Amino acid sequence: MALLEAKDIYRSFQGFLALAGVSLSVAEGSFHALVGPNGAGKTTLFNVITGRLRPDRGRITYEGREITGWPTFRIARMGLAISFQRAQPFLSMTVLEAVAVARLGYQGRTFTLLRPLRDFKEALAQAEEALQKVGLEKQTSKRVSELPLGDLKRLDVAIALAGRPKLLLLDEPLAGLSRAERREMVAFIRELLRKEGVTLLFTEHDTEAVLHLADRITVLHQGRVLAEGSPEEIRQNAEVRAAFLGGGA
Amino acid sequence: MRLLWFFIALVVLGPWLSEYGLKLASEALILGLYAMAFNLLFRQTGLLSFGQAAFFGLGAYTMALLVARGGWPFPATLPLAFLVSALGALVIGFLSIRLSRIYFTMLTLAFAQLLYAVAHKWYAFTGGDNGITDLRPPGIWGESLFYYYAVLFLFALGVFFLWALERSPFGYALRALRDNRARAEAVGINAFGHLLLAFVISGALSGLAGALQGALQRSVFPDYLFWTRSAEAILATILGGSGVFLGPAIGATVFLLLRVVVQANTEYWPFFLGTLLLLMVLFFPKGLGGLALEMARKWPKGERRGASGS
Repeated sequence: MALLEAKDIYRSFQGFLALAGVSLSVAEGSFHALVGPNGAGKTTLFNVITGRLRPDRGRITYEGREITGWPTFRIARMGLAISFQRAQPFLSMTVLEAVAVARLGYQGRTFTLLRPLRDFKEALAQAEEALQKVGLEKQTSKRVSELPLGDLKRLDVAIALAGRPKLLLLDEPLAGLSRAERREMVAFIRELLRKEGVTLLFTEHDTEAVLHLADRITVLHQGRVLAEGSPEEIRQNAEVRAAFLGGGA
Repeated sequence: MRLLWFFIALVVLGPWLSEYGLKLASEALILGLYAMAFNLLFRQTGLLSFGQAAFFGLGAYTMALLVARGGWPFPATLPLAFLVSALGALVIGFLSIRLSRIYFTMLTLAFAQLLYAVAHKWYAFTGGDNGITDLRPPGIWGESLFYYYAVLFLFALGVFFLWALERSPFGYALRALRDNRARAEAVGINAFGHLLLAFVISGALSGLAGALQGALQRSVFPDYLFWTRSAEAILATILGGSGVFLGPAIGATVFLLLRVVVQANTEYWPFFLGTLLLLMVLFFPKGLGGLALEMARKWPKGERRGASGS
């Protein structure tokens, strides 16, 4: 069953057609990659799915409900979480606070005015659990601003997981990481999400990592779907090789 | 804990002050509350409101009109002043919060100036330029010492409210929005709703301060709504340091004391103020409050280092 479906999405910016009729179906439990060169429309599609951008045309359904045009915060509360490419979560807080406030945000409980955050034991326990999952359990009282880039990315994933999402969007999770860190991150993502039973939709430029991590790949090119299939099918696809893989892989 | 000592000092201070001193101290507390209300927005959400006078004035005029035209007793007008300014903030906030920063700032300024124009021109209702005078609060409320304690009580209430707010999930959500709005919305935080509520709280507290100031001065004039009144909140905040919780209140006190001293000796108060602000922004961007905190942090450390070295 499709957890997320995008149907015939169009979106243009001042005459530039960023998405020209993209359809995408993400099956529950799959690791779905969205690949394509810069400007192919990956980030725009992510922004449309998460509600940051309204599509000019087309419909998004999630768990069978149409969510097109919903505000971002409502979509997030449905269990559709995202971790950003440039992870800069809540720099003025401690690691634990950043995840705890996210937890309460997903639950729609941040309108509590006078009870201190530290009294929200359940949210704090959930936050610690999420931090443990990403291996940051020893850094909980550190300031977010003190974390190195790799840890910031992990923290951002913990923030996404704090809502116990069904679907996680990861926007270039490997960008800016070294070779060794990349390998570690791929293993980390794979193991984590299998354990959590979270469906993954991600973009990535690192072809090797994509073929390694994904069980389904959609190739975008100039705002259109160029090809879709299993990693093996995509590898064999001549059109894709010409446009994206450059004959390598 | 530090906050508690601060209030104990203010309570003890009361009887030692002269009539004039009590008035000045009350005014400092009122301006302090007003500046702290402004700083709730500025520090927690990063929104710079240049129209805070709208709510200060709304509160003051609500109080004055109810007393002068409606014959209400002064204390009973305070909750209404609070509510009317909250309502005003709800409307103005609803219209301006959607805009990006500089437009937000300009629109809040425009709304405040609009209210100023109304108060200025609508003679039949507001008395225009002549203002509303003879607002001496009845009975014990008219006595300076009692009034000082009343103001102190409300100031303390406001400060503890803001203090608790900062530690609550709501306060953290505001900071999340300030730190990274896109990220905050993506974890389910409703930006518009949170910012609007913060704006309303800030406006309501400003209105309370306005009503208290009107009763202290026994009169309310259109300049309560004028943009210079908005600027006072910003100036006090810069002087005291927006990053320090009590900074705006400290700044408000220093601002008033300086004005008294400088105005007694020269005519160049604006020149003096401008120079001071320039120096503060250039050399002490964390304000006097930040400076004090830094010194407090350094001092005990220095002693400890000395002790371990011997």
